[in-house]
Amino acid sequence: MVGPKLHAPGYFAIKTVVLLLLLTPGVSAESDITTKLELFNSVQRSADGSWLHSGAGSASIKIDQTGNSNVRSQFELTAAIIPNNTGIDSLQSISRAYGKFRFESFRGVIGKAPFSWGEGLIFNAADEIFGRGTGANLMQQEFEDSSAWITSFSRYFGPFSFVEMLVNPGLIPIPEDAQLAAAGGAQPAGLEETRAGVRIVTKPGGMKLEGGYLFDGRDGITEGPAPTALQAGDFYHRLYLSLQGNLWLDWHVSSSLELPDPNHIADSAPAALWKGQLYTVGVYSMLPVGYDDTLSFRFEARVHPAGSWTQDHSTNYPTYGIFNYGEVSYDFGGGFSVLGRALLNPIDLSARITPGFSWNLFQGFTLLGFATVQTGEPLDTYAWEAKDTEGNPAIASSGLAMQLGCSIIY
Amino acid sequence: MLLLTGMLLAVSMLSSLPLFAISAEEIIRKLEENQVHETARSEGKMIINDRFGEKVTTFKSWAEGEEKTLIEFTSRQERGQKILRADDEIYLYFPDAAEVIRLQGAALRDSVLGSDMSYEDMTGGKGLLDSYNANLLGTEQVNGQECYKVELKAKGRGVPYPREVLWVDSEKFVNHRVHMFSLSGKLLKEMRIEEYRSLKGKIFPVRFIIEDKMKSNSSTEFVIESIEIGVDIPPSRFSLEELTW
Repeated sequence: MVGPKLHAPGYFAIKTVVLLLLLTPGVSAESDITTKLELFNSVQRSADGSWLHSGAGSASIKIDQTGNSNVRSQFELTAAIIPNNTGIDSLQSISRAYGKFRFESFRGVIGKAPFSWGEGLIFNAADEIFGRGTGANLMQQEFEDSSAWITSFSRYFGPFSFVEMLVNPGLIPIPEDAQLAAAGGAQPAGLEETRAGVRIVTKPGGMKLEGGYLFDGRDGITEGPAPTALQAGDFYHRLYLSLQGNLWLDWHVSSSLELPDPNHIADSAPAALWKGQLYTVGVYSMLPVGYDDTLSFRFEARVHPAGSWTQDHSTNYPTYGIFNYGEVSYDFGGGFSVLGRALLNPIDLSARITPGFSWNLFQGFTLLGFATVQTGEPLDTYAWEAKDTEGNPAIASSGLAMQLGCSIIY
Repeated sequence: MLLLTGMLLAVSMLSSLPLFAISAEEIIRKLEENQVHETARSEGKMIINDRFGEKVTTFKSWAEGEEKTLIEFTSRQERGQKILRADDEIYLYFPDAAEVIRLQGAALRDSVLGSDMSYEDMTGGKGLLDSYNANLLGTEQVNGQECYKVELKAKGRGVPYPREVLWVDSEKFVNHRVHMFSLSGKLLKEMRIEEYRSLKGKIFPVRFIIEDKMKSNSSTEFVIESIEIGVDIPPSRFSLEELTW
């Protein structure tokens, strides 16, 4: 995951931290260091029809704390490597920096940590804010995790049940303006921009049941079933319920309701209730084939009843009522597998289709190859030749792209 | 005369059949008793060999009886990935995504990290007699030891191999060799037990090799490097809390 480019002082601070950690003799006894490189040659067709060729990749160094059964922490520095004519440039981010601790009765996490609520690989009504959604990049071996600054406390009751309370503060805006930066930078977000919530996970019978509530104080929200630019000080209430079980196939169903601040919406209460509904469903199965092979398939759908159910070729980019995701993979044993993934908007009949393969040849070394083709017309969600892409987060990649490379972990 | 002929015939028939004081089912039960411990904590490695070389995966595991197992992978590529078996279900934890996946049904037979072992094999659970009918074929010498040769035929389709033949030590009730066959009778895999360990009255394999007979130079070696039996394991070890820790 790549975040915004850091300012020079921050960049050198990160480098210093990493070097110190690597060079301090005592660190190795209480920590494990894992390095991961993903290196690709990419060819893609641009919107004007020309073909582009680039080398790109990412590198990450992850340091895990070990040796303490009640405290764990992780620091991960990730850099996207983008060679340019001035030498190899990169965009760095701290993708993880968190600590977790446990007492007999509860457990806590603080820092930039991965977390996911609800069920679903691509579409997850319970995790619409941090989930992957309709704009997911399908050209990756494993889908990127989401991480955010959280402070959470969990209390477990029984082997498969717990309650978690979570706080996610507002974002500190990075000052674009040099004068503002010189004057000390931007102020942290106000308290009213905080997100805070609670969820409960339990397993009645053979079914996993999860329900939660999130107070979302961010204004100008672009995520969620009905993105709306609210005024400063406005907020959302988000409620969700997820079920997961097995009936021949593994299945999951999630529903969520997003209600804006009642004092600042023009809609009537029933209209707001209608607009805020979102549903996601999915099935998944792994089937042994022969004696070594495995066939896996997954299907997910995202349904927003109040979304647009007709094709709209204006530049408004409506929030469409339904999206589908499908994935089939076949593992031949011995570390070689092929896959096909597709995101489909059944209303404008556009799709993002990705075939790929991965081959774990040697210890820690995997060859990877992916291609993506988008089939839609210029103003469709997944367009072959995208035009005026502003406002349509799903149009992020070109009509055709291929990448071949490797992943190395050591 | 008729009575004499009948007696001779009966004696002749009996002498042509091997006489065993133990049934095939009893052999399998004794074999499994040796392999299941009240509680156990172990560390080991799995070495996957193919034409490109070897890949080593190391792990720690905790087990309580047949039904509860937690395995944590410690090798760099898989570090922090965990498998929890509890209540006839298997949960996988992937730390990079902080994601828990629940496996049920046919997915339990999927291979672990590309090895020749399935999640069900690796975490215990179902006994052999739940899935197979056992038949005692006779005795044979393997590695200089007298072994019962037991044939297992699948009761249904929910098993990876429709037929297996086991050579079980007639004194220690441990496997010496296992052959796994296809429906057509083709030998698919051979498991050879290379090393045993005796602890607290039980004898169990600590190093064995599964060789894929359909591929050249393909095998999985499974090694238990350290094991403790009868240790105190808190019930919380087999929970979602421990899985995601």
